[in-house]
Amino acid sequence: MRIKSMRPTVAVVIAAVIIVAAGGAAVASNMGFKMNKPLVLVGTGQTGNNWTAIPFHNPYGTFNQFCTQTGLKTTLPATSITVRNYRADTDSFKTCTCGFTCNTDPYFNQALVPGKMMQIRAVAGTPTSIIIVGSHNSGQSLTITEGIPFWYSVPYHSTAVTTDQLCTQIGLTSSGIPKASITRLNPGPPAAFQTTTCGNPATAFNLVLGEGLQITEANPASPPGIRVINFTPAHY
Amino acid sequence: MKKALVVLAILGAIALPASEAYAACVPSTPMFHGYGSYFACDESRGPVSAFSYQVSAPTTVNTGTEVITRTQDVGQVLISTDWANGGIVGCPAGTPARVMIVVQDSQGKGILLSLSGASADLGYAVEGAHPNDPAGIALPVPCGDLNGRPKVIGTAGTSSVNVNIQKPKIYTDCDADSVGMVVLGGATCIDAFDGVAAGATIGGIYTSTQPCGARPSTVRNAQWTKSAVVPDAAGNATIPFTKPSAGTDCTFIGTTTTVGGVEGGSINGFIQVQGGLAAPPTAEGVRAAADSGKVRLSWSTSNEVGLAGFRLIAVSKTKGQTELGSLISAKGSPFSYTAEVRLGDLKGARSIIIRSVLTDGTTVDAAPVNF
Repeated sequence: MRIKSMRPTVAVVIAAVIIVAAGGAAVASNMGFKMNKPLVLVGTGQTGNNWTAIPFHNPYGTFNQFCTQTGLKTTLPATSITVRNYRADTDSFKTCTCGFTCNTDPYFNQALVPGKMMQIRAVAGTPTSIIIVGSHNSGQSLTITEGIPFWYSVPYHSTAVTTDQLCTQIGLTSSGIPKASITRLNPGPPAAFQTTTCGNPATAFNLVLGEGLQITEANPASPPGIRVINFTPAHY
Repeated sequence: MKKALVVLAILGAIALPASEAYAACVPSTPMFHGYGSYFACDESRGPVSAFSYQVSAPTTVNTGTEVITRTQDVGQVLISTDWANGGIVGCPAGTPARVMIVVQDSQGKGILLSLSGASADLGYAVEGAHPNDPAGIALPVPCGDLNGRPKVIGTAGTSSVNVNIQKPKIYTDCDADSVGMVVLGGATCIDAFDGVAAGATIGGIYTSTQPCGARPSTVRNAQWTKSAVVPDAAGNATIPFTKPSAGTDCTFIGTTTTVGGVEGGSINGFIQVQGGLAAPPTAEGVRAAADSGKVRLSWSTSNEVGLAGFRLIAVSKTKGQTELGSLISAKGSPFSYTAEVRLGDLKGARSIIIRSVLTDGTTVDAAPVNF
């Protein structure tokens, strides 16, 4: 775990307080931290689908190790984890079950990808909160491809407080229609999606500590082709 | 998987235009084998593929062009998809939003299995409709003939074929021995679907002319012509067909399944009958086991048109192939065969091939089996 000294500005401290208050409790140890991530249990529809950010540096190794180290349920019916376009832009959705296919499916039985979030579907019997530990990798660059939803692990020390700030930091600069969008899934109950388009402060919302987001850069007809955006998440 | 992709692409091409108004799930509704079990299907002669649809809305909610299977190991096929993936048409909806999974191997054998999705904990985990394994969680479900696959029992001239079609079996998460019922206490069964499934019938008998040597498209569309013939109470029917004019085409006979009064959106079981280059009858489900100084063999046929009999071939790394005994005569209609070979006669061979000998003198081999 990398340890750095930290001297946050007052504004950043306020921002941190806001997102901590909104999302749970995090204990910072310089740049390493331990976070109590609340989990909503399953209900109807999307309720209980917890979009979860994972620290870029973490001790988990594979998905199943994440399950066991955080105490997710590994017996039938087991906690399931869903990812989207996780290892390649063409992967779509893939799901594994803790203690079962998270351990046996070759797609999941390999290293977690820094910067990608996961959806934890917390079945009955799953703990209602888990401890997530790790630290940020300030040199980790991420790539978003136009038109391909990117499930983003928001760094736990992100300097972006709102989605609008995140749009600017990433460089989601598409203009006109369509525009880039950022979606949050409130796990409920009842579950609800919250979506904003970049450059539209009226629909912007605050980031929630520990939650991941779906970011989709628009793919306008002009200029032709598909652009990729490389960015390194800003953090304090 | 290339053949499966082609088939599913055709399925999707048919399904998509009719489904523009039906949105896929947002954002995720996984349907997958998640608890270690699988479909036990023979892939030695081609890929196994699958298609799924909502039972109450087969043409507007289905898996379209999405490839929903993956191979875990030899003979172990898994469902691995998400109703939010690209290529999917519509999103299962309703209470319950029950779906049917239709699995097919390249020979038309397969599985019919239905999931309610009613348990928020289990979702569309496929094991919910597998038989419970008391020593584990779920027993594998085998591909078989009970998916409505016709069996040829004879010919009537050169343009008709006599078939027998058994009542389809649908594995459901309402079955008394299913994981959904045994392990989850029936949380998967809020619609008494076992009774509905037990009443499933053959929806229709269809014929189609499609290229030989490839698994046919099985979407129920204009490629398949519904026969006016209805099976009798014993499941027997005489189906007329037109011999393909092109030497590269074959005639296929398949069936649909009607569940709860709704005919499914795909041809489930099918066979290839005589056509330009019709496939010869091959030994199926070959098994071999060594016991008490003998090797006991078993196999079956689902089509014996043009079949004279079988020869047993011992396969040795050092001596190559050796014929064992004399020709085993064909019965003339689908049959389950057994045979025994003394270990001493095998002279060190560790595998055996069941070779079909056709009336025109040609042969076709089943995959070797070890013992």
